[in-house]
Amino acid sequence: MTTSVTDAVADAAQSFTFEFRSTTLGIVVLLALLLLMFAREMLKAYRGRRAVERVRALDIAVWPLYIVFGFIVSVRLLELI
Amino acid sequence: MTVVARAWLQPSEWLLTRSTATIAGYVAALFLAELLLAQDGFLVGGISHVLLLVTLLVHHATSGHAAYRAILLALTLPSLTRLVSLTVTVVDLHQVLWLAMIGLPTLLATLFVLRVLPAGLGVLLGRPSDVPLQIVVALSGILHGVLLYLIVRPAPLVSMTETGTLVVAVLVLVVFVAALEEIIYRGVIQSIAQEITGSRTAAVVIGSVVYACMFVSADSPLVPLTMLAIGGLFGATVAFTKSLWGVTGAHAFMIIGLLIVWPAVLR
Repeated sequence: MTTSVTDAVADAAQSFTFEFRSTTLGIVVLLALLLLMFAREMLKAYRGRRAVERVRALDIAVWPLYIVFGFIVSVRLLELI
Repeated sequence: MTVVARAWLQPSEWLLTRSTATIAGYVAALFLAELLLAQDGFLVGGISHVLLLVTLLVHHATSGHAAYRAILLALTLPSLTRLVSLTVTVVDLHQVLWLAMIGLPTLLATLFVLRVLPAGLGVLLGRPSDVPLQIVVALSGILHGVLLYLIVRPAPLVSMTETGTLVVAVLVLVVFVAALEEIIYRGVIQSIAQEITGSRTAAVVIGSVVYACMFVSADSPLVPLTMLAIGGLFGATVAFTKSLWGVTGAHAFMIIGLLIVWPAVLR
């Protein structure tokens, strides 16, 4: 019973396969990551102080979602092998 | 004395400000996202959290010099935690590994939030001024663990006889549950809320409500209510002692008792 693994999270993991979750919510999360990466690159083009601050703010979501992306791809690749 | 009294006892000064209304709106959205997760399943709940996360980041980028700006970034942490937890959990792996796999990206996000925000956590992580009090606070976690166990009655996370697994489980629970959650909810969210509202009462309320929202998707409605009370107690302790060490110890004792010790001893 933690903030990260509640009953609903455990139920989702047990009721739906990783393949199903990664091709539904996983896709939505990856689309959000693409959107944030696009915004980050756009902001990088402006080299002002505020642009740097905003890039750093986007990093809060971008880097953890990179890890999620890497994890999903790794598990799916391992399933194929 | 006047400053202390003002910080604790003047709700009329912080209840109706624009900053408080903005924070309340996002906390309500977090509550709704967790409710949708519990009622309509992981996809609807997950999409709600994606929308909330993107909205918070866009609002932060477009809010100029608004007083509440800092907390928008802090409030991305609960939604990020939930998105990571819904996408990286693999049923074949042990739940201890789930906690570590969710904890790593969440810890990274927390470090990025701390990089952007003005210093403040350093004070909370410094040497506590009153060590005996911090020890008493930490030991109170044993009682919280018993109380929670009697409400939730979870299956044991690991067996007490498997020493290697037990040590790993305890380490994961201390680092990725107790310490990380205290840094996020009391260290980051509550501290920033206090800076913005100027009220310790408001900060404790905001920190504990956000914390309790993350338990709305638990099976029993008693769980979020109990966590609201425990979060309020931990929050008030941090506001009073200005240290995270005691409540981190209490959280560690609580979660280790709830998931490892009490299921084996009290079943």
